[in-house]
Amino acid sequence: MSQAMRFIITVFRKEMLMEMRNRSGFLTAGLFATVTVLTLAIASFGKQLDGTLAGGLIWVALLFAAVVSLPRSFLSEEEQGTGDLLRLLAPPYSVFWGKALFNLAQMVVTGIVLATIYVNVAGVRVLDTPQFLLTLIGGCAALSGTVTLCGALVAQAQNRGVLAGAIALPLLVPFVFLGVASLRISLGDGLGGSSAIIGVWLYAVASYALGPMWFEAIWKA
Amino acid sequence: MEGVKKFVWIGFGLLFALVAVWSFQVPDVQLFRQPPLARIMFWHLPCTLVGLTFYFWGVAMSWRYLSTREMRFDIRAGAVNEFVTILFSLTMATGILFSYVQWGAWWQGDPRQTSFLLVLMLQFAYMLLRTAFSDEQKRASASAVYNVASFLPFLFLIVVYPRLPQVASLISHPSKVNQSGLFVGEYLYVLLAVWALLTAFGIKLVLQRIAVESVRLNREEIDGKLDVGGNTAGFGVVRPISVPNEHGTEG
Repeated sequence: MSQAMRFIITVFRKEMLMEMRNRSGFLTAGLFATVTVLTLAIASFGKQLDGTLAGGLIWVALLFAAVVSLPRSFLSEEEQGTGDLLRLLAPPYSVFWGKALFNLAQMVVTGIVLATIYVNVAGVRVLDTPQFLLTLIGGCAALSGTVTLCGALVAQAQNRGVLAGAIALPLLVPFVFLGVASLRISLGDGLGGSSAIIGVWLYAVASYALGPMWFEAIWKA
Repeated sequence: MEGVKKFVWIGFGLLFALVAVWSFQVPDVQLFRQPPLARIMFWHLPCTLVGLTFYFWGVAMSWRYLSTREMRFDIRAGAVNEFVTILFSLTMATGILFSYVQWGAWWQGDPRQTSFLLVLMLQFAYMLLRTAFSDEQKRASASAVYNVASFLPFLFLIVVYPRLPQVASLISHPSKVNQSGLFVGEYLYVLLAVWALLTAFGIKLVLQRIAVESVRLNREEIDGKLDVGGNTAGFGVVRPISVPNEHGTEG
């Protein structure tokens, strides 16, 4: 195993251990997402939602769950005073990849649980399960890559908790267009959708490929 | 010299007034519900085009900052983006006004209008990020990364999204009318005049802003090293000083 890989796995394990100890991040995201989904389902009670609206509501819930929970991975380093130690010990790319991959795992679990609850509670039928899952996983990857970077950007700023969400949302809305376009087709509203799903995955790949480079520019500034 | 500088600004004011008067001399366009008010386009379109040009300049300056770590590029990026935010806000405001007078609704839900609002949100987020740091180096790095990172979503919102097949059919934006030959003859001349004037005004404004910020930065550097008499700081006086960064340049 290469040294780079070892560094990434070490940061990933550190994140996991931290999460296992206090569980606040996962519980916050889970509770927030569940309550959001239930609220959306109650708001549309008795209505038969079309695929576009249902897909849009799922992405809104996921988007806000991501901006509430994911920036924490960097904000907590600065709050606990461990950021400087991490800067000294680990190369920037491993910090970004380790944290982004942990956020991805957290987001995929949240996304699948949230979508399952929503589909069952709102009575929406999934007609193309592989496309539904591919869109969700690709979308969660794009969300985790982008929001992790935004968390790093504001880690040393004032009002960082709110600021991370405020700067991440405008970056993510274009991706939500693609996510909705792909998800609505898997929910039976329209045909095709292959270009939208490719767009979602390209967004995810771009955030993970460019993220470490941009992260390096701010991490030791 | 001070008198000449003042004359430049008065000159800009006069030229803007002159072009505004000229725009009312051209005949009305009968394509719209209220033809006289279709002249909003003389200001709406140049604001967008000049804003886009300056936006690319801003991204290029942020990129240069990330490559060189020289504060002068961050100052330029900040100044340019301030002007871009003003222009995009004016584009949005004139667009909303045009929508109201021509279609009877302040907000049409038009995809191009919505995507441009998101572009404006990206600009506001950039400006918000700049205000959140007290440390200049950190502010410069974070805002440069955000400006470069927002370039792809920006291109998607401006170029790709309005042309998606399922979106293009919903657009009521008059860009199709413009393409069908509205801006010919005197209409084109007025539009070009506003465009040229706005570009010149923007360059003057941005250069002035860059000069002011550069003087402020230099002053802070001098304050950090010497007092008014040219002496180093006395005992017990703490002043900020610049230290070489990892690239060996002073920041």
